[in-house]
Amino acid sequence: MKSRLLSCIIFIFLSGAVSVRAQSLALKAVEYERVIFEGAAPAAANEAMLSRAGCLVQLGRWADAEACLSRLRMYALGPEQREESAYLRTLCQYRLKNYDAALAVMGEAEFPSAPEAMKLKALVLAGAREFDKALEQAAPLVSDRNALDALFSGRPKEKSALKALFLGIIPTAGHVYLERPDLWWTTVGTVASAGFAVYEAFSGNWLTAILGGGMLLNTIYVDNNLRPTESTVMKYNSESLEKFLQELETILDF
Amino acid sequence: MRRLGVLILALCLCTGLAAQKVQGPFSFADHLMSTSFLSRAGKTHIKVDPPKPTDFSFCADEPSAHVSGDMDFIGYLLDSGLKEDALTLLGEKAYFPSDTLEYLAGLALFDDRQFEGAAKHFSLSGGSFAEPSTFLGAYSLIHTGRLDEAEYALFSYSGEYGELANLQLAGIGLIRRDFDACRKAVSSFTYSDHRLAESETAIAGLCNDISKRRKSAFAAACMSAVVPGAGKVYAGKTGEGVAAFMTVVPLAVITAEQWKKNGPAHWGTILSGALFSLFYIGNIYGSYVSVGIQEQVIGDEVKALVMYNLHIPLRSCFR
Repeated sequence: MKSRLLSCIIFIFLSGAVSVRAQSLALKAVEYERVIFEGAAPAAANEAMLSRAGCLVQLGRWADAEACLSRLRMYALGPEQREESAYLRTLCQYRLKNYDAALAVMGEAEFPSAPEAMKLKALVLAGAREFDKALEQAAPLVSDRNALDALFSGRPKEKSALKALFLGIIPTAGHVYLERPDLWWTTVGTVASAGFAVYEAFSGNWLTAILGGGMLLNTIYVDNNLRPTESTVMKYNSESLEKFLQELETILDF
Repeated sequence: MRRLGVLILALCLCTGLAAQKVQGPFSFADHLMSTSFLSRAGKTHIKVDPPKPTDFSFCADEPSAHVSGDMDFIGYLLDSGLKEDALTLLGEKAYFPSDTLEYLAGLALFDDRQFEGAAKHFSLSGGSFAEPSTFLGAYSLIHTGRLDEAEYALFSYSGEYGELANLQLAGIGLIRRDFDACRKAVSSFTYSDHRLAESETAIAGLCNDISKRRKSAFAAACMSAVVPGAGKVYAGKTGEGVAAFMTVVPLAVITAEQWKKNGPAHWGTILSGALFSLFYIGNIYGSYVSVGIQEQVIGDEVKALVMYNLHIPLRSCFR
């Protein structure tokens, strides 16, 4: 107990030194690192790391803040510090778009119950596509319930790359599924290529039908319709989720 | 009906490729073959990271501290991978100008891969940091492509790290494809210093391999004229070579069929013949160009390997 008290006093002294010396948040973060470098006791080092992480979060250096928080000595953390570290780690993972990792951090540590933390919890749940739980979490936090319900009724549906690939065999079906009307020309091109091949075959030009039709179908149908399916699906999934989360942040005033 | 179909197909092809950078009809034909599904199979190569632009500067306030007092802390920051913090400290805290300050700034920028700035600060550092500054500065100059300046700094060096200077000179020779200079530097390797031996072996091996691998663009074009795509295979782009073969030969067959059935004046023969000519010449042009492109790719890979092998001894000797 005595050593804990002593380390707290040392930390308060060092914090004073930091705030006097530091001119910017970035420099403050460095000075907190110096506290750790100078061999502070575990409790004081934890305080310094939490303060450093706070500076880095304010600077938007999420990965650095997460790395700093992962160095915390958990055994020397008090209950309030545990909550603070859980909140900051979740926030960092959320901003780094690692929604599953953010969910895992929320699950493994005592998470604070302050309104701002509850908002973050709702956002993380939505990021991990647990929309029902996110809605349940967000509902008591907003004044405009209608806007929230409207947003969640249009929740982004995750598209399957495999389904898109199978549907892509019929070009229009693939484009409708992926909501990409701008790829209309590949449908026209595919139909025209097939028509050209059939016409040449009926005219008795078998080689032209097979080779020419094959080359055109390969260029238009395979290269421009089937091949980009997976990347298109991934892009669609991430963009639709990001848009949803942005709107949810606006409603939650996060 | 048939002409309308062909027109629609041409429109579709042009729409799909309008965004691509092509310089002419033959380049267009070559691009079409090079970007097909077949030609892209299994394409990988090492990429050299472009150096970051530097925006580092020292604090403009009146100096109030000596950097030597923070040297251990800055060393700790760099060793812990906190290079951004080291740069913040060096940039925002008002230190008195000194060799140590220049060296530490160079080191922090070096770790942050801001080689332009690192080279500048190492060139201003002297005193007890003259030797590490010479070699770390030369490495930074090599990274930014300022090979003449790096070579000059290494030739001017005379000290206990002579073999390291030769290793860096051999690396410069390799990047320049000046194999005589490279061999000359390699001949002075003793392979006796354990910090350098592994890198010396790697650089000597690279010098031997690369000097045997030079290819002629003219030969590639001739090969593609005889067998479509052969030049690309010779240049090392097997996928593109096969794709070119699978495009040009069917077009030749289609032209022959149209000629035989409809005669030379028929529009089908003229169209397929024109397409065949376009793709045939495009393939020859592409083969000629691809030797240069492939040399550039190999050059990038060689540079990445050289930089890797020059970096290891620097860490062993000076960090």
